[in-house]
Amino acid sequence: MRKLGLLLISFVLVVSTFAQNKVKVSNVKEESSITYSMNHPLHAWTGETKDVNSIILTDDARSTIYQVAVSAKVSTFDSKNANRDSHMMEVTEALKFPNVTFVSSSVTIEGGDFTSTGTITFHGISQPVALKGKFTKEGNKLTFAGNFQLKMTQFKIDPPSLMGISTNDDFKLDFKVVYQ
Amino acid sequence: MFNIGTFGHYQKPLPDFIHLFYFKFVIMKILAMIVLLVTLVSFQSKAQKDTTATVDLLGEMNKTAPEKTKLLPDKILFTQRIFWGEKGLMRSFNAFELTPEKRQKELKVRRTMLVMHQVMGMVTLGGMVAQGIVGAKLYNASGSNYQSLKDTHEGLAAAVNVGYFSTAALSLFAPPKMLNERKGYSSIKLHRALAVVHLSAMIATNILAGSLEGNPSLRPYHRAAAYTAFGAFAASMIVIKF
Repeated sequence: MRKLGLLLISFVLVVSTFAQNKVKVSNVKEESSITYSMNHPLHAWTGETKDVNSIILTDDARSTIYQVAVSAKVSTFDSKNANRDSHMMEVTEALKFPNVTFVSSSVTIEGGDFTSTGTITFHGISQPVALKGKFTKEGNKLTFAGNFQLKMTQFKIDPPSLMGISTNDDFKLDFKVVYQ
Repeated sequence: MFNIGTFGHYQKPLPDFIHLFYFKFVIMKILAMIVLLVTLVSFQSKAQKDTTATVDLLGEMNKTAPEKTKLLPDKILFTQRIFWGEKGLMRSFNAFELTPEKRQKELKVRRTMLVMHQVMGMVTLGGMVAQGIVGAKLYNASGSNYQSLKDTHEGLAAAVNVGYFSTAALSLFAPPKMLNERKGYSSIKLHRALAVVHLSAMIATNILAGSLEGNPSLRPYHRAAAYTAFGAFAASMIVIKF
């Protein structure tokens, strides 16, 4: 009888865990951005987009983040040089693969830090990635910020060149995404 | 060891209703475990559905995403518009029809032309340096040396002109870039501004060269125009950054 009681209690706990509502929250575009940084022997530069689309799957209290999806159009990255941005669209075949996306498989928040594993898709190639960064919560406003390194050749992109010299394969992505 | 026929160490056989109760208890326990298992499996299935929601999140964003990327910028240089504008001459050819796939290939043509523009530019710069050395010697030459240097200078001038105007054509007639010009200063804007300076100076150098035969007093102006063309040309290469 005792065992049966324990079983029933476990059942109730399991049910109550899954009974929480899941809500989808979109990001605040004006406060969100993604910036890439690249290097060439002659020059270093950055390109930023503020046209970031993202949705998180969370609970009513915003205490648990179940999933995150982020998408940005390659054509919206602005390095203050239209020729350079156009060149980037050429090498990344942005007409064929217009978006760079991130989809999470797990999101863990511990205090002011977050860790997320997931998949980045760029130039039609998907690669696993682990992100770390800072997390802040002010009421219903959630902010994720951090950076990570990638290589162009990971996504089968030939690094662009100038004067016969190629850019470095490595590039860094800085992100700040705000949800409310 | 527990024996269903006994109770503890009590050896007297149990009544039938005790056996019945125990039997029902076991059945209920089994049923409860089955119910729990079914519940856990169904929630596991629900959890799996939740992971597919990730794909739905992206799909949801794509539905509300803005329109497709434009294939041509709003403003195109008139030399490029003649050939590559929406109603340009090249659009009559099937290979250069204005579709995303063919525009992607057209961008490769642009890349090839701009790489050749860089190469020809450097070759032309080298020719200008040689021309400057010969020109400086010719400025102070006399006698038989003068004629020899003059012939060399004219030959180099022809080569530099071919190189220079080929370099210009490769840029002016290349397919247009994908995007509209960005606001504010950029190295490419300075590169284009300097191009106006060195193009004007090159034209002046050639016109003055043609007038020198009847008016040798124009030599200092011809030299000044040539040095201006060289200086602006070299600067336009230095300021360009990727």
